[in-house]
Amino acid sequence: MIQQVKELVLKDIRLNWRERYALYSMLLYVLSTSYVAYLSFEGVISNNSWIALFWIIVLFAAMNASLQSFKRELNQQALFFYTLANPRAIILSKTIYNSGLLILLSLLSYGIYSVFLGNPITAHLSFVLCIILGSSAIASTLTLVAAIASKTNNSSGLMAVLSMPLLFPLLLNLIKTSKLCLNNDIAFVAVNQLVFLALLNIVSALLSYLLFPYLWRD
Amino acid sequence: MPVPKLNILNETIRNLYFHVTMWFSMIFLMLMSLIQSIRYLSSFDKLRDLKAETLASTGIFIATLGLTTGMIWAQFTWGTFWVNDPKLNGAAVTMLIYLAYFILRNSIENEDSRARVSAIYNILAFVMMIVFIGILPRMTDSLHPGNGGNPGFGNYDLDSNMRMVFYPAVIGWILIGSWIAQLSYRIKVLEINKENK
Repeated sequence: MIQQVKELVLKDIRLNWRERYALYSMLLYVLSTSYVAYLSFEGVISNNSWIALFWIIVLFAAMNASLQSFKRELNQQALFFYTLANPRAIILSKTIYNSGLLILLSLLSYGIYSVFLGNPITAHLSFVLCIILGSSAIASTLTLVAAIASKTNNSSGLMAVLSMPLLFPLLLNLIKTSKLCLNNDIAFVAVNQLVFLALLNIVSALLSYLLFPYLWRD
Repeated sequence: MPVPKLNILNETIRNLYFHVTMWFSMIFLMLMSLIQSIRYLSSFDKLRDLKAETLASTGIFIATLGLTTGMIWAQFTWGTFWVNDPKLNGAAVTMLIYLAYFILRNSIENEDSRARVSAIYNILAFVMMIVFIGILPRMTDSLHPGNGGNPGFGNYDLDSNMRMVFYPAVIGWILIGSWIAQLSYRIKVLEINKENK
């Protein structure tokens, strides 16, 4: 099982590296939105808007990234593929791959964003942890929702409808956690919120693990 | 039944018998819907899927009533129908999640795959609902009674008069919810039988 997950994650990395344009398009998205934000705020931005805008950029990057994740598995080839590997290994590998991708992407956009719009965060350790846990929670929720939406006729439209209410409280929590990181001299704050984010990760990974075997059969 | 005389709240405290009990009833119905969805996934019996759908739609109906009574109460105590508050956001999100469940149901044509996919989303929806209205509001301050230093009704009610109405009302609303769900389930079964004839 663990061996299979490892192989599948490597397969995803290799396949996506071969088609790098998708990765580049996400990078360009982050770069251009940060620049648009810089232009529209003319470099002066309040702390609250800074945080809200940052998480909105991350959220839409995540939506784009996870929409891709089940594109390849929709055809006839997928049925054969699912008989080769354990479906639980497939969903776990997808979750791990998407989380990893989104963590990298949001850390990168944190960097780009700070260059353009400055960085009001003082509790750096907490904020980076918040980015890591938050993006993996977003990614693991979105992976299961993308799997559900891929079973319908209108997957990209339904993806937004299904995932927005699920992600909205998470986003509020992330914004709140980030605000706690603003005016603190201590590097490590908001422990409760971070524990909540970690638990949310575990819950959504567990749900994917339990439910996906019922989902793939058609 | 006499109620404790309190500033601001006054007689609106009686809303406890409706608003709070309706949310209890809604959570009960959603729990039943979850159980039917889990049983659908273990048996693939289509009637279980129908039960899950009917229970969820009745749950949404009761939740709408609960939201409306809450909003009317808020208008008279807080001065506005809606405030930006964790508990209210949680309630709104729950409604949105279950409305998305019905959109998901309608967007899949194949009956078997519709039943299976929506059962899976129903399980996801219930777990997330518990997180959003059960856990998240408790982590933050809230204007809502029973949260963030605001006392729930238990602190006001010294002579237990309200309990005499409240607990039967909880049972009553749960039974009314189950009864509506059962009726509409039986109507749907009759309609299916009629079509098959």
